Order: sequence, then structure tokens, then C-alpha cells
Amino acid sequence: MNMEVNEVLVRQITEAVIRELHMRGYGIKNGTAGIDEAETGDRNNRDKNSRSENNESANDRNANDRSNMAQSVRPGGNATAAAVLPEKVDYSGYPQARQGTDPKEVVIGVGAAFGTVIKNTITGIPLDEVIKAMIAGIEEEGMTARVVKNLRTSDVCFIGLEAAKLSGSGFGIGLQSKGTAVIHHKALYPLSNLELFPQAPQMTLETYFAIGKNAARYVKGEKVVPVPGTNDPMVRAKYQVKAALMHIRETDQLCPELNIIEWAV
Amino acid sequence: MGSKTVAGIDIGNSTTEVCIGTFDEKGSLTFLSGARTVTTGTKGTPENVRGIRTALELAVEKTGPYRAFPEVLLLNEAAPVIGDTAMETITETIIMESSMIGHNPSTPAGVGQAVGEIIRIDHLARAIPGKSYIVTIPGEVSYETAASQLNAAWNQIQITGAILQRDEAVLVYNRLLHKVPILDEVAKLEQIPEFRKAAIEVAPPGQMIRMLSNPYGIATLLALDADETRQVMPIAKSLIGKRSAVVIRTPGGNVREQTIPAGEIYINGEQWRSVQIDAGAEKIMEAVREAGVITDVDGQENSNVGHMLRRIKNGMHRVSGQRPEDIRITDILAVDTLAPVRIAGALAEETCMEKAVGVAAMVKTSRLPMQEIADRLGNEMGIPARVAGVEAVMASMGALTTPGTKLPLAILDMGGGSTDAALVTEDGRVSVTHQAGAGELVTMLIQTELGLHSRMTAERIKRSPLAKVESLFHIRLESGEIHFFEEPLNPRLFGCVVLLEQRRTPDGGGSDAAGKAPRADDSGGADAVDAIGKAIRAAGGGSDTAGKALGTAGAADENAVRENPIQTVLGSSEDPWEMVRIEEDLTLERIADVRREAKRKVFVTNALRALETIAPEHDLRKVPNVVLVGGSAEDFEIPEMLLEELSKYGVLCGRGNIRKTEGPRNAVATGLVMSWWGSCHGNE
Repeated sequence: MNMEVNEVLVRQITEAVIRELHMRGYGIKNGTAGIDEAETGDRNNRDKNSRSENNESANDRNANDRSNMAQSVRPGGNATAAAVLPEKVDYSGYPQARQGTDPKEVVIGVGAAFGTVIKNTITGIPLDEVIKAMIAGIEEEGMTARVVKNLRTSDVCFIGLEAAKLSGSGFGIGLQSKGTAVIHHKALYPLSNLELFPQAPQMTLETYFAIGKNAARYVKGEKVVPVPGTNDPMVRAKYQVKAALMHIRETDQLCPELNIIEWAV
Repeated sequence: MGSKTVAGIDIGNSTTEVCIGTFDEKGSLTFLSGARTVTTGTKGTPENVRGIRTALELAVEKTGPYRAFPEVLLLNEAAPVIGDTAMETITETIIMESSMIGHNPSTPAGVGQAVGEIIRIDHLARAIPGKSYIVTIPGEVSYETAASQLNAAWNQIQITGAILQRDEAVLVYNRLLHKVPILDEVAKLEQIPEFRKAAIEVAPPGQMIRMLSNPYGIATLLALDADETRQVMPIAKSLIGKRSAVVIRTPGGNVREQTIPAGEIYINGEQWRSVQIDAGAEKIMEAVREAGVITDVDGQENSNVGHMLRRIKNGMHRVSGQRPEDIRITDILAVDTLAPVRIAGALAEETCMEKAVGVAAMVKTSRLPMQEIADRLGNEMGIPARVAGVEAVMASMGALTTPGTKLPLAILDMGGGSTDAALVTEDGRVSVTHQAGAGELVTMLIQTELGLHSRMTAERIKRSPLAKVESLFHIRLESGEIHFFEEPLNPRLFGCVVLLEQRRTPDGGGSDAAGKAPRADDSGGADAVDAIGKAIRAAGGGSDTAGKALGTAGAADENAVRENPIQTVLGSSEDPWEMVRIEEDLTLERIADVRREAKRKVFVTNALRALETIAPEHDLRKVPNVVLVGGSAEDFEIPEMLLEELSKYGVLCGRGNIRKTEGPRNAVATGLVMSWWGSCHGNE
């Protein structure tokens, strides 16, 4: 990736942050631009589609349904925010995630916005393909997968740890909607983990397959082959804004009183 | 004669050891401290001085609050031998015309054997109904597509098996309506010849394939006649121990194991002998024995072994500064081994264990310039330094400070480059031998046989026992024991085979209890040493009271031993080891087997060889007792191995415990200090 940190980029970032502040109601009220324009990096059609869907759903949202927490995040509750932050999905009908007992099980915990308001990872890989690759990796190693959605936290390490705690084997995977993943074990501290894949923009479907495989190999007590990854020092600069915005969207979808729910893929 | 403090200095191939002792007015000896550091430069060169100084400073530091500075420095006359090792594979396996695949994918699917014609998945339409097929599925076809196409084709043709490029065998298998054995992770799938008859086999979990590793099994499946069956023998042989395999019937297809023309070794000795290197280690060692005292060993020009020996000689030339043509190999130890080598023509990156020969050679150099080192050391430190005594004899004297020993006594000094043995008889006669092959050869064998990338990993495997991290809270030790932990282990270790490395003491040495309990030796210890000194002197004078004197010495020591602080690390809250993970994908059992076998091949062979050479009338049974000293004697299993082996000949053998505190280390340095005592009294 030949990307330069230059004035244009810095300006873009600054503008995006200011715009976000506007939307959240801190100060100026006439911000009309959607966050889409602030999102740098590669955009493909899928990405665009999902964004327009998000905006559509945002339009017919009902402000009264929002929880207190969400309101505190958006004190202004103004029209701009309404146009940008998508509707909060109602998960009240979903069953609570159960405690697993199958020793062959790997539980994948996904973020609150996963598959609903966010449909692609930060680089535009469809999330349904991501989760499918991960489950395939687990299946190839002869283990079984179960998916839960964490509505309590959007921190990838905690999502992973909570998933691990629900897992019959004690091993779980945390997967944020932007694509960041972690393999966790129930006995570990949240910020300690088995494997962390922090650079979402570097992930491919092969990586997700390999993560699933590795998680399953941990269950079997086998030695894992570290998932080969690439490192790009420019990734941060290139994707920081987009990552932050996607994270805000995910956090916005939290609904702590519903805790963790079963999530059929 | 007044009291005097002396330091014995032993320069070894890898470590420099120092021992400080003091003689009081009556001439009784007290050991004050011992220390060791890494040898600087090559053994026997002036660069050693730096290491000696460091070791001396460490030792003086440890003599307690009232520093005892040595007034005389004693250096050993190092044995003028240097060892080196080399390795050469002597067979290679080549797969002709992509005739087989035999590898161990982590997750094949299905179980059993099947026969069919090879067909690519996108050619299924061309398949003749009613015929049996084995389908190859390239990487661009996803498991879902593959499974649905196979299911769809099932009605027209018979599919008996599948070969995948990607790692998706289980995924396809789970989606098949009619289950068949499936192999995956075949990297060069496109090279499999299509429309040829083939047989596929996947072994049940935990087992090896049976049909395809059996020539008659292949004959059964592929309907071969007697001649063809004879030809598939190498295929069957190279498939032994695999979890899955495919054999394809191609006209010229075969697997060839060819012997690389490795060349001949020429041994010049009392008898002249030549031996083919591919005859194996046993034949080579037989020739070495027959040759008697060897003056030089050479290899056939322009052959592998020729290059190998040339390499060793060139290395020696660099080290010793002698002209290459003046360097003489005086002993070799050949060891059969196996090395995993990529098979030429393989489709799935298979490796084959090829035969190889590891050779350790010992080179006699001219006398090492020890006097030069002594002069330089003396000048730099302002303390008189002298060369005082031959290494093997000094080591024997040092070894005598091990409780429970007496003359006659044999020592086996197992170092890095060579295995030395010495026998001191009751009448003081000493016979010495140096044998090629020791710790470094073991390291090399471990490295090749396990296919390790780094020599360092092999070295560490050699030194420490293994364990498998089975969960975040427990490990299974090599012995099968389970060890639990309160806190979760480092997640990076999960599922790995780890080395349990002993935590190191700050100066890099093992036990250094000597410095902590110098005074404890005062009463009993000094007497004991006194007696040993007498024994040695007596032995020199031809008296047979030496044994008795030593017997009493041993008894007098009991108190001293008890007063020593015992360093038990196991009792402490922290574990006594550090876990180091092994990156290579190897099982604990395999590593342990290779490690033990390498040690046995080198040390047991060499111990027997060495002891036979020095034994009275070359009869092992006449060797009284053997004390193991030197770096490799510190090993956690070699002494036990040797005890087991030597006990068959009624020979008492064990790891030395120099001055009751040093373990098998510091024998020569200790011997040097004792020799000072002997020389003073001898002069009286």
C-alpha cells in the first residue's frame, strides 16, 4: 500500500473528527455531511450499498426507543445525528446466550452491529462470509461452532473472553464488526489472550479460516501454527478514522440489559 | 614453609575454570572457591587470558570478606587435540512421473482405501458412467461447490475418493451424501496425471496406512503382476508411517532411492584400511579398530566424504594456524543417522528420512603454546604463573576428591569436542586416550535428525528435559507426571512442547556452592584432601596404602558435607525452570527418542571405546571405577545411561562430585591446586 501521510490526509482526519463532533451535538448544528465522506480507504460497491442501507434504516428510526445510555451519548439528538447514526436494532426478542456444555464447542462472539448495521469489515469483506470462513475453519478441525452476539461491550478482548466463558470448551473467539479478532480462553485475563489479530485491514477470508482452525486446535490441545499475517505501518494512518467511526457505530448498538444473545448466522 | 594461596586454572574448549586453595603452615590444604566463565578465543591461544582473568576475579570475589589473592597461578597442559564434526547424506529419494503422494495432512477425512481413475472435478462431465473415479479438486473450487458437484455426479459415476489442494477435506466430507476417503493439502495438485488408475488410502485416527505401505497391498488395489509388484517396492517403503497416501499407476512412474556416491575413507594406521562411507557407521568403526593407532584419515578425492574431511582439516587449519597438509586426523567416530530431506518430484512437499553419516574427527595439533599464555598472564597480573601438569592427570586428581572414590581410578572426561579417558593405577602409572566425538556431535545428530533450523535449538534440546503444555494450568512432563500451576501459563506456550530449562545463576554457572561454604571444609575437608594428596604421592612412590588412605578421607568428610548449604530450588515458590517453546512441529516422544538415541550413539560408544583402550589388557572388566567429569557429565541423563551400560561389565560409574560441591566440573583446576601440594612435599 503506497499511501502517504500528507496534508490532505491530515486535513481529512481533522474534518472527519469535527464532523463527528457536530453530529453528536457538541457545538455547530449545520453539519449535513454524512460520515461516509470521511471514510477513507478502498471503497467498493458492497461498501456503498451497506452504507445506504444503514442510512435508510436510520431515517425511519424512532427516537423514543432509545435507551438512556444511547441518549447520553447523543445529548443533542439533533437531525444530523439522526441522519447518520443508524437505527438501534431491537434485540429484545432474541434468546439469552446459554452456557455451553459441549467440550468440542468454540463460541464466536460478535459485536453488536455485526450483520445488522454493519455488513462488511473495514476493507469491505462481507461479514457473512467472514463468519462462514471462521466456522469452516472450526469444522475442518472437527470441532463445532456457535455464534453469540455481545450487547454489553464492544471491546474485542471482552467480547472474546465472554464468548470463551460461554463456550463448552472454554475457548472462544471475539470478532468485532470491523474485522478485528481475538482467540480467548475463559481462564485468562481480558487483556491477555491466546492470539490477537489487531489489524483488521490486513485480514482476508483465509485469515479468518485460519483463526477458526487455530481456535479449534486449541480445543484439541494441539500446537497451533501462528496465523501468518502481514504488517503495514501505514494501516493506522489510513484506517484510523474509519476504524473509529465503525467502532462508534458498534458501541451505539449496545444494549447492556440484554447482555449476550444467541445469534443464528 | 608458610601458608600459601594458589589458583588452578583449566582452559577448556568452551569453559575456563578456576579453583583457589590455600595451604597452611602445616601444609594442609583448604579449598576456598571455584568459578568458571566462557573461554575467550580458541583453547590454547593468548586470547584465553581475558577469560582467565574474569574467572580469577570471580573466584577471588567468592573467597569471602577477607579476599584471598592467589600467589601462584597454575595452568594445565591442555591436551593438544581439537574435535570437529561433519555430516553427509548418502541416499536420496526421487519420485518419478508424479507416481505417488504420501504425506501427513493434519486433517484428512474419511477412512479406508479406494481405487479409481484420476479425474479433475471440472471434467466430471466427460466421465464414463459406471466407472470408478478419484476426483482431484483444485484450490479455486470451494468446498461447497466441490461437495455439491460430487453429490450431483454420484448418480452417474462412482466416486471412490477425492484429493484436495486446499485444507478442506473435512468440510467436503461433511457435505457428501456418500462418504469417501479424502486427502488434502496437496500443493502441486495440477501435476497429478489425469485418467490414470490410482489407489487412495486414509488411515484411521492415530494409525498409519497399511495397504499402500505394503507392496502386495498396492498389487491388490492396482492389480499388478509379480514384476510390477517388485517395482513398487520403493513406493511402499517410502509410504511407511504416513497417515494418507495416493499411488498412481504411470508407465515409468516409480520412486527411486539412490545411493549418492559418497566415496571412500582411507585410514592410515598400523594397518591401512579403506572403507566405503555408505557401508554405514558399523563398518567404518570396524575399520578404525582394525587400523590400530591411526596416523591420519583421508577421503577419496572429489567425493562427499573427501570434501567432508577436507572441511574439517581446513577448519582446524584456521583454528590452529598449522598448514592444512600438516594436520592429521588421529581418530574418527562415525554415527549412522537419518535426516529428513525434501523428496525430489514430490507433489505435497513430502520429506523422506534419508540415510546419513555423521562423523566427528579429532585432530592432533602441535603442542599448544601454554607457556606463552602463562607468561602473558603472569606479566599482566603480576603473579607468577606456570604450566603445571597434564590435563588428564590433573583431572584424575581432582576426580579423587569425589566422595567414595579410591585408586585405581579411571576418569571419563566428556567435553564438547572429545571424550578423554585416563586411568591412574595404584602404583601411579597413568594411561590416557583421546577419542573423537562428544557433546557437539550429539548436538549435530539432534539437529539433523529432527530437521532443526538452528544449531542452538538442538543444543538446548540436548541439555534440558521436555514437557508438553496440555492446558493453561498444567504440563505433562517427559516422565508422564502432571505438574499444575496456580496462575495461567503464558498463552504462547499452549499446546506446545517446551524445554524445562534450569534457571541460571547470575554468573552463568550451575551450582556454585563452594564459595558459600569455604570454612566448612576447614576441619574434615582439609584432612580429606591431605589424605588424597598423600595417596597420590604414595601412589607415585609405589605404595599400596593409597586406597586405605582414601577410605579414611572419605569418612572424615561427612561433617563437611552436612554443613554445606543445600540449594533446593524446588522448594521455592517459583518453579525451578524456565519454559522454552520448541517452534518446530515435533512430538515430545519423537524429540526425546532422538535426543536419547543421539546421546547413546555417541557417549556409550565412545565410553566403551575409550575405556577399552586404557583398560589393563584392554579388558573392560579390569577397569575398577569410573568417575565422569567434564561438561557433558553434567547432563541429566548421560551418566545414568553410562552406568546402565557399564554395570554390565561390573564397572562402577557415576557423575563426579568434585570437592563434594562442584559436581563434575572443576576437576582439572582442583587437581592443579592439589598438584602444588604434591610438588612441594615431593621436593622436601
